[in-house]
Amino acid sequence: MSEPVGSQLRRVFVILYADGVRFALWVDWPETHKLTALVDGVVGAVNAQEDDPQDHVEVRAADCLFFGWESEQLPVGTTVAQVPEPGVVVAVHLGGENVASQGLMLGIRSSVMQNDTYGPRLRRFLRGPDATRPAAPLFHFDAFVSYSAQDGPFAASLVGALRAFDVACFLAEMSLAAGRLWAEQLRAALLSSRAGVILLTPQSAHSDWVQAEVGAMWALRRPVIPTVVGLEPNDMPTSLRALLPHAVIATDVTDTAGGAAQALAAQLAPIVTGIRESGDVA
Amino acid sequence: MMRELFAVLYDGTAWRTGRYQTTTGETLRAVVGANAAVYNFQRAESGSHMSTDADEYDMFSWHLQRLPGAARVAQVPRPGVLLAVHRDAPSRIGDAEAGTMAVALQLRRELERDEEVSARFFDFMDTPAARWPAVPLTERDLLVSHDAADAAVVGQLVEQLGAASLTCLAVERPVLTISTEGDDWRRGLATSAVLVSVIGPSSVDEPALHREAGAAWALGRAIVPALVGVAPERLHYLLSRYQVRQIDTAQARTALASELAEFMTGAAGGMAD
Repeated sequence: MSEPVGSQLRRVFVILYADGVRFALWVDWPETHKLTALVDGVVGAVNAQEDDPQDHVEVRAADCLFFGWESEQLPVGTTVAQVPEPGVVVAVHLGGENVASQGLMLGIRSSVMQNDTYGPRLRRFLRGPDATRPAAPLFHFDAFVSYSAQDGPFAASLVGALRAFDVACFLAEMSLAAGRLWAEQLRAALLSSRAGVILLTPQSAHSDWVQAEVGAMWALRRPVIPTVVGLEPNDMPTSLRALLPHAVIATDVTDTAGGAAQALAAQLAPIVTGIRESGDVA
Repeated sequence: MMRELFAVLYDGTAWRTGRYQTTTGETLRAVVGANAAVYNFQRAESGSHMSTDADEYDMFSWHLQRLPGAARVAQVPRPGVLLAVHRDAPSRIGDAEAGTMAVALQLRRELERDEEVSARFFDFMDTPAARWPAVPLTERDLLVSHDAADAAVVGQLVEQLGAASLTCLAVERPVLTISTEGDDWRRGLATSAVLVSVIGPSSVDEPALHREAGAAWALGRAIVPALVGVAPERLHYLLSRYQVRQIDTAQARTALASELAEFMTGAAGGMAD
């Protein structure tokens, strides 16, 4: 994925549903804007063209859930650049409910396609070049956990403990699907993670693969949370010592099966959720 | 290798649109100049004239990425549309800050609205030319990363790369990521299409080698491990997945430069654009 030079706008097709389809149109919008800003902006523009205030759309994007064309729900903080191919955003205002069924999404798609105004407009968009533009990856994980295979059981305990704090982690041993190239899956997971947790242990400190994952997070400009478990600072390789001032250090590692992982998760969770909530990841 | 683009030139009063086939190594500056010249030839009797000085135009892709005049035809991102706007062209949406980009945006809309042009444009969109996998659009072709111990051989390699019309930046790989050198290196990688990782006996076991490979892998860059006095079997993990080249001799360095020049003007294949 190359870094675009001066890329600013992306054309996306926006559908707003609130007790029926309220509008369906394409707009050229700054790629870095979040979907809430996109929908509020489009609602404002649509209302500005409507003379009769009674016909205004009274919907706030903050009260909407967002979906892609394939009915996948888009996480909070999704930007215009991250709208999956074919670049269609469905904003659903549920009026108090917080669940949109698959049936509702199919119904919205169908009613837009069959509408005399929206249908031809959408078909034209789907035929054009903007519908095939690759999207920036969505964040499916709060953290990518980098570890040595020898620390697998402890890493799995940690990820399990973090899940109790509502932190979604990628851990290769648990998350890689069978039958696919693992390096490609790892790369996709890195791109889909907001931050990296690097488990630095006596086993991983000298691992070449952990070094490669550190390099990957550095290149992607993801926040890195070095997490030191059972490793004395003096045993850290020179190349990783610069990470020490930012490290989370597990103090009690005698009970690696459960207690230590839970204690570490309690230290890590606020840091990771802080990164997620700040939405400052590229 | 040849590639077909859909080129749109606009100088404020006239526009030329159409398919244009040329070699993938041609610069966009040359494409714009040639298209303007064709327009002038076709309209000679009417007196309508378009500037053929490509440096007077700003160039954009369909998705409004700014394209440098020195970029090659192979680098125009999908769907292979080149929008060239003369800097004196007035912005028709009246946004002074947006300048030529606003005009390019307007041109996109015209392409879809104008009945005659729109038919030709969507015909192009239906051809394989619109799906040609472009070479990454970056400021330069190569980042040559190396250790101080290999500086002499890198100097000779850089000469060969320049002779093959490749642009490159040679930098020593940083020991630490959190450092000024680390920041410069990362920026160098982000703005280069290919990482040439020069690996000698002093660097083959260094952790920094794996970090730089991980960085290039994450960004989807092609990686060429270029070995100096090191056997390929000594590479581990990520690096061992890439096709290596030995560059111990002048002949081998010339061959690598020639291979990379071909790579930078060919279809990108598996590389993301």
